[in-house]
Amino acid sequence: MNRYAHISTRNLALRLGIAAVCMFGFGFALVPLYDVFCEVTGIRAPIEASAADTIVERPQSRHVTLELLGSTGNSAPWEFGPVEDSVDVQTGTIQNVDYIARNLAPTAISGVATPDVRPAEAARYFKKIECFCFSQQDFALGEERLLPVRFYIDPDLPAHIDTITLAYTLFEKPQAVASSSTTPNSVY
Amino acid sequence: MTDQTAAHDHHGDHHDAPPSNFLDRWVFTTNHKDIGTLYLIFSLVMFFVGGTMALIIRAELFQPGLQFVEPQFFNSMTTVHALVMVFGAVMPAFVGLANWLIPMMVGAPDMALPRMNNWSFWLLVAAFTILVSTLFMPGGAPAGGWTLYPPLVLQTGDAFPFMVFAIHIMGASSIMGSINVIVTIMNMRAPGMTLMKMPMFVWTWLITAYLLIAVMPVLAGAVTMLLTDRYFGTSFFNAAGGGDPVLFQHVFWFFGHPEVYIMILPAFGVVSQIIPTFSRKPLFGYSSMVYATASIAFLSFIVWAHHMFTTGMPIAGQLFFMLATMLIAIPTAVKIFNWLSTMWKGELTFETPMLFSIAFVLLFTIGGFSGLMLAIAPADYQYHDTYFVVAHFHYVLVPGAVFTLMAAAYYWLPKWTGYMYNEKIGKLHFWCSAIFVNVLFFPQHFVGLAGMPRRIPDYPTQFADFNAISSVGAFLFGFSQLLFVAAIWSSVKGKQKATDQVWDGAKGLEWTLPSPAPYHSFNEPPHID
Repeated sequence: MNRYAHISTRNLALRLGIAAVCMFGFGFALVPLYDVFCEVTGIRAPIEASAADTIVERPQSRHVTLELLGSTGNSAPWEFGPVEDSVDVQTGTIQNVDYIARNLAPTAISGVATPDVRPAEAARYFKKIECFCFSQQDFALGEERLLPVRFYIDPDLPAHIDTITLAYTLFEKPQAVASSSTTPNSVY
Repeated sequence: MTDQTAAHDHHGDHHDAPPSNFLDRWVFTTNHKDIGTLYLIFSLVMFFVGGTMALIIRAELFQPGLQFVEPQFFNSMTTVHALVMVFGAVMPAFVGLANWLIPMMVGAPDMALPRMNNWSFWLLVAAFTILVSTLFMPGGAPAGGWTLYPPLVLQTGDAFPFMVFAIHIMGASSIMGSINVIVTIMNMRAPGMTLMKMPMFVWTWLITAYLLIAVMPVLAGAVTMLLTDRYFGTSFFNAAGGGDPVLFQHVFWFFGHPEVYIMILPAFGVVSQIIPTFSRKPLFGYSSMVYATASIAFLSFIVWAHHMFTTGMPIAGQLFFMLATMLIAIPTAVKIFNWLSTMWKGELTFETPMLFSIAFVLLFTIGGFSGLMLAIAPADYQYHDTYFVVAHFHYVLVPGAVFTLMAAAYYWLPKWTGYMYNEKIGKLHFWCSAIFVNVLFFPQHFVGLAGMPRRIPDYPTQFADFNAISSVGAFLFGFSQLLFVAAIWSSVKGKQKATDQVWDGAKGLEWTLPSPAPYHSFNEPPHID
């Protein structure tokens, strides 16, 4: 036995076992690596608020239609949606739209909203100045309130885009998730 | 195969007899041949369990409309059929072959870690008892597809934690089996058997075992994340907590793509043993076969996202994964052409193992070509999640991996039992299988290209004709497999004694042993020149 053994059977089996344990860890390491990879390559650039003072208004004659959508994720207990479904927006000016949310749960709840801009090509020209997606939203029992969005559409928006869709999904925040490395702000 | 004992006595040689007590022989056994037999019987049982589920699927799809089963149960069938066939039939069958053959092929007395060997088999039984029991749980068996994508899989009923636990246990079983294979091959070869003199089956298993150790733990990690997302408030894949469901697909396919090669590399090894035997020529291009296998294994780690072209990947990513995937065609073609060159100008005979091997070369290549079509990212948008994908992976798995398992069974059964199987039943089994498998899967290409999605219990009437043909093929193929059982039985309860050589063209250490192979073989290592 062990005719070719450069490493004893016991040692080799142990090393392979350790390799398997390391690969289990590697599976979990893929989670932060995935976020880092997406940010470094710009696949999923973090959406950041543009400070109002860095935006110089350049009012244009060009108008686009902004369609607004609101939905709740996983049947989260809110009545949620935009105040107006569709608005006409002058490019190059700072504008406001409102969403409205009402807590339907029998208790106070917290939520997190994720935004999405379509077509994806328009996303970099759609600058959010104030957005309820950047922070946790707490709702008291039965509370109803307006959630404002303040934004600016860059006049450099490609000419073939005449309609932009802004969609929010409001999720109920899981109770146990308070301080993990994947808090919403680090992603969106 | 219990009459091995009796047959063995006829040889009356100096080897120890197996324990006569049933428990000691079959439950506590550490003998590589007994454990190999247990694995092979287990996988055959699972092949019929998974096959029955497939027939339920095909019965429902025979006509448009809902006939026999509820959509939820239909989804459970597609999910559990896949899990059972992948982890319960194909993988354990190859582990069974590894147990039986690797020690005999490298001239070792047993596997390096016999007790662990016993444990890995019984863990597998435990895992599948749990998995199959989920069919009877409130909320039904898992129904989110074998790929277990969240958030859908998180809606599984009470079965969810049992499914995760079953995957953990079968993963542990596979990893232990792989460690055993690697240690046996690295440390227990007979003197003179250098790595480049090993039979191809041993080479392909060595590489497969490394793949298993690298990726089974990643799957365990992924399902653990699903478990904590559901019960412990983490948000790995939950957008509300900052996670991302697409992350799961990346982690899953990092496991999943090497996994498909885990199921096919040992098949390449089996065919590389059988074709030279019946061509009466040595394998053409042995070293290129070894390097091609290693290249395929390496490439399998960098192509996973070709399963995800439609998730919104950037163009650069799609291009990379498309080109890397197409690259795999090159080492695979090296293997195909080597098999063809082995047959070229050989003295061919067409016994059942050879027939299954030739059918493998042809039909696996068809599955490979449809894989190349799927690799083309812009075309994949049309094919993604359609029956075209179903046809593709069934071509590489059924007339691919499963045909080689049958070829292997026919090829080595006489060595295992000491008796020839009934060649007439074998040939009938082959022709039924080879014809009906095409009736079953070929029409699925057409409905897939026409846009029929996979994993649906009902479909528009435009797909009715091809689905009816496919279902007829499925039932004929399924019942043909009873002939396989009959053929195995004809060898176990055989009349015609096999010679030690069995096949006149067979080369390798296992053919130097008596038939049936004695309970303990190669206690004295043979010497290889």
